[in-house]
Amino acid sequence: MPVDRYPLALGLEIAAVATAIGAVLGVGFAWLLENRQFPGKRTLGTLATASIALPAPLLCYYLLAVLGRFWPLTRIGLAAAGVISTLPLLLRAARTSFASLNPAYAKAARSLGASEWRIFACIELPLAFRPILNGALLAFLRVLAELAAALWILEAHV
Amino acid sequence: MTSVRATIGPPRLPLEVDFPLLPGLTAVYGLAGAGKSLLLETIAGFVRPDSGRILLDDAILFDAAARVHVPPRLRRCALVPQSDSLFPHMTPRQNLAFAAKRWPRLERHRRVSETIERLQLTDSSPRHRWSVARALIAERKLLLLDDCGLDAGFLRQVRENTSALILLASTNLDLCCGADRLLVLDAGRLLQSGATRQVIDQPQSLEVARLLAIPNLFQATVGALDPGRNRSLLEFDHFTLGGPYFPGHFRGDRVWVAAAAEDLRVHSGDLAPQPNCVALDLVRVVPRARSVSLEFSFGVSVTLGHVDFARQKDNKGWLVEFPPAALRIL
Repeated sequence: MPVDRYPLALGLEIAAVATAIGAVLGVGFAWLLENRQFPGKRTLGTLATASIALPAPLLCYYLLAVLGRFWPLTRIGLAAAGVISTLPLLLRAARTSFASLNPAYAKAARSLGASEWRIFACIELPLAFRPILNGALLAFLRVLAELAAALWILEAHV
Repeated sequence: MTSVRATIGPPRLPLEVDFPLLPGLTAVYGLAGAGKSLLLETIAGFVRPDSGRILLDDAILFDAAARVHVPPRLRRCALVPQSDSLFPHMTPRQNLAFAAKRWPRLERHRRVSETIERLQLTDSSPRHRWSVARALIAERKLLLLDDCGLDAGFLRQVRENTSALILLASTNLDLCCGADRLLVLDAGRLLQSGATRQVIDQPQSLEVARLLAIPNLFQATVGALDPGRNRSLLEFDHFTLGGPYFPGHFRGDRVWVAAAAEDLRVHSGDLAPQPNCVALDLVRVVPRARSVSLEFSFGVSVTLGHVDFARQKDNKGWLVEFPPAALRIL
């Protein structure tokens, strides 16, 4: 029996794209939550963390069902659902690793005249990189697993 | 002109300081929790005071009334925090290059090598030395060194290699005594500031004298006061001494009297009793690098030069002389 490689290729592709986009958004959002003060910061942080607890296949299914009304089940729609599913994991991983950094590093760098971007790119990101990478790996596997489940549920419905 | 006037009130840790920063090395001395780090972080811009004004070379860094708060990176104050702040994912040399980023590549390399050479840094040098070197290479106008475990020798090297003002916070009194000026901080309050020698020789209050571990600190009762002859009589628990007239005090006042250990003199016990001399038992002799500290009964301490001590070390008994000018009421 010939093996259909399409689902695997599609899953890997969507998971990779969703993890990459989720990582950029998650790291950026985590940095904002850890370094900046703005109204509603605490609520936003709590919501983002709590969303990890949502049943992932169901979340994906409903996301695809809602997105499907506007976008037919294209790769973009699937990737968007994947991003929303990876974001809490990546956000949490990045936030924890940024929070665990010794604040003396950023203080010393700021007093040496370094810009916020340089501190982020040259100090905070390299130091927090490993835990973020672990989070990204978990997120990648999560999307891969959930996508298949969500697609099955959708197919069953249709 | 460089000056710091800042007040921080509850619910944060309190701080109330007002002092000018003069060229050279100024030390902030205080016990742990006195507010030294808070003061340095306030100057560096990481803590915003409730009120006050901070000037660095006439540039306003903070002014509560005008709502000016220059961000830390634009303040030209390099802070070396108390904990290890050397970026762990970079080599010490790369750390120095990070601080020298504003120069072109070749110039940057030259400056890094030059700083390493001037401060005699090696791979085995303690990390805090590299942190200070990194702050030095950034060529800021003010170096804020927070109790980072420096020793007097390295501090001297740092001073020789920079024209920046240096504010050092430390719990090490010996290190602070090497500074040009001394600030004594306790529970967020600036107790005394001035030239180091002056603060040590003339503490303004009992709190300062105790913090500076001034050895001869005794409680006495003012027995007599004679403004006409500029005389007074101080009755201590175990002996009585004549002092100068102390304005603002009355007969019967209980006061704390300080006498610098360097200002007291010792004589052989064979001499006939002399005014302001007290016969005391020698308890301990502590040799130091440049002097010898003699500790007598009743907690009296006298510092002598090595030559003077060699001349008197065979004394059978000891008379300690308290010159009236050496006695100060706190």
